[in-house]
Amino acid sequence: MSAQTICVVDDDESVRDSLGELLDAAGYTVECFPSAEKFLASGTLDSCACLITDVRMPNMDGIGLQEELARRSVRFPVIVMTGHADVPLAVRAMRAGATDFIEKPFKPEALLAAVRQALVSGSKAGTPRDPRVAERIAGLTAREREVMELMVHGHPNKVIAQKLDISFRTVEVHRSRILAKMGAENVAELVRLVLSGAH
Amino acid sequence: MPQDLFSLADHGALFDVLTSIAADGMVVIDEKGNVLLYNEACRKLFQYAPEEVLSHNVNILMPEPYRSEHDGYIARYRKTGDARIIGIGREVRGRRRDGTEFPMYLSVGEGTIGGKRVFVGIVHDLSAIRKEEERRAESDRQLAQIVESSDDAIISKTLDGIVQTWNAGAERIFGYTASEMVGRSIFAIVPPERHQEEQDILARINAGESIHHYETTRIRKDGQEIAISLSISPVRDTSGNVIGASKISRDITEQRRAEERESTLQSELAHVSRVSAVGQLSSALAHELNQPLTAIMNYASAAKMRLAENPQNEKTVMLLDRAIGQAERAGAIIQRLRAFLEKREPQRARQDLNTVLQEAIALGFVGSIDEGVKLVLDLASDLPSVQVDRIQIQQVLVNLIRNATEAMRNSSIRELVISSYRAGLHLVEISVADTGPGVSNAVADQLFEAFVTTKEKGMGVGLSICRTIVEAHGGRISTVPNLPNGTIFKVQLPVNV
Repeated sequence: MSAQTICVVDDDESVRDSLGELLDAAGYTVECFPSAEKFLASGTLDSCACLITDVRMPNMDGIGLQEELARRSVRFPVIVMTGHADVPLAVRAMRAGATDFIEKPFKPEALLAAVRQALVSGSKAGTPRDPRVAERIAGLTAREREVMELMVHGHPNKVIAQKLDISFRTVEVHRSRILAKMGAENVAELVRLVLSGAH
Repeated sequence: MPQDLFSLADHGALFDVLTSIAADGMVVIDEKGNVLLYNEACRKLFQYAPEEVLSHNVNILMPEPYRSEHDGYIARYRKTGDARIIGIGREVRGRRRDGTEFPMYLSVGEGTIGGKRVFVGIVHDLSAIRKEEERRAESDRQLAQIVESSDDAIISKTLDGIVQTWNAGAERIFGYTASEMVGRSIFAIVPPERHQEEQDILARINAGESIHHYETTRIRKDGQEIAISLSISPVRDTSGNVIGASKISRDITEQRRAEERESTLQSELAHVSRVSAVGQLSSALAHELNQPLTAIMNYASAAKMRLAENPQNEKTVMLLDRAIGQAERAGAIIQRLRAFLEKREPQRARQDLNTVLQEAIALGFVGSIDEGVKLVLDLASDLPSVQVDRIQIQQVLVNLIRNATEAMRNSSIRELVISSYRAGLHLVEISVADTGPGVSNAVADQLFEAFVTTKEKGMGVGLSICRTIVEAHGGRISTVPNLPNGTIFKVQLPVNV
């Protein structure tokens, strides 16, 4: 087993198998596992260069897997795959140390790009800071930073409004300003940006 | 008097018994009005002890003005022989010892004892009878008041249907006054097609039956038809013969309308819940479909990469690219559908109206090409952005697009023209024009009211909700005819400054 092995963990057989074929065609060595438990028990942890895992799985899910890897002090880049509705879950995954996350269905090129990026950053032991992110954060008002902090924790607008004791409408305004200032299309991208900048 | 029953000595005892046990009062007076006999019943009635009355003028038993005039009555009778009460009897008033008065029936007879003229008065107390009569009169009065003040029409009529009484409720409900209706046939308020029904009702009443809460229609004086609930009972005379009918009618026109509204609301709710069930199903379905779509794209990409190593496979690679593109498109549709169906808080953001519109078209026009609908787009390229909730505005547009394609199902020409343009300095407008049968002016006026459209199919949110959404954005939604055939829906939105 080469040191460049990409490990795929997904309970959906079609996704798992097709990812194996895609990565294989792209020249990577791939190992696929139907569950987090099987992966942890496989003995491939040492040779794993990058893990691609589904976030939502029966028994141990993607975040549980990350936590277990952290507990074992195993470090390699983790790309989390998520369904559209799982943004708060993805936020948790990112905070648990995931390098990237990608929404299903994704363009194959996007996944391959994420893998390439992960391998580069993994070899450098850590995600590179994006200097622009810090600049953009500096451009936010204090209140906008507060709102953003809650947003990247996956709180919906209603909760943010309650926590900050401001109107729902005001949160909406802050939200669209924050996304515009940070140059993010959506909350998911904002989370990615903020976490990459803060590493 | 039968001699064999009573000896002469017994006559005195009989007289005593008679006067003491008689229920009616007995008074005998002489020509001057002095009391010669005053029996036990009198004592109870007038409350005077015999010694207070005997040998005194009988007028102490009378209230004024009789008291003062009594001596005069006797004197006049003695002079003229003109009997006003003697031998006749009539109702007069008595006066008790305590000064209170009571009604009594007094019959007076005249006779002689020992050559002297005497008058015999028999007094029958009418207090109890009068009291009962008053009670009845009072109860009748109260009953009449209840009938008068009732909101319901309360009518009595003969078995021929001639109105005998007509209360204020009847005046209000049917528009005819009592003087217009009493003595007239009840058929004045019965619609011609229901004459037989009224005949049947009268026949049933005649047979002694009652009818409860019978719902029917009647005609007001102004010609308006109203829904009423009838309860009819036979009216009987004291011997139990049915002599007429009493009829209580309640105006249930409002109630009917409320019921109709409720049933419309029910069907609307059923529709909404069907839509939301579809929404949940679609959401789950979308999640499930994402997996195979991801796999399709991965497999196709893997195949493409392997083939791309050989230039001879250029054509095949191109075909795989198209397959991947279509899978991406399917994924995008699912994502939009999910966003569309999710329950969510409104989120307004600056949007390019044409992008919003094109996504809505992708959702709303699904399947319509197969139905032979031709789509014509005429989108202005220089539209300012709008501050809207993308999903909500798309809900409106998808609804309009689906309505339009549904409307054209039976049209020979099926052309859907969707345009966007500036409608003023601070206004942009989207129009959705179909070539369906159009809507009549009457319907067009209330098209956006709640509960007006009750379509069976479609995941439309209803035009009333469309209006709510558009107006919440400070815009307006309207409709104009698309001549010669069809309808144009226009959604106008303000350009926020």
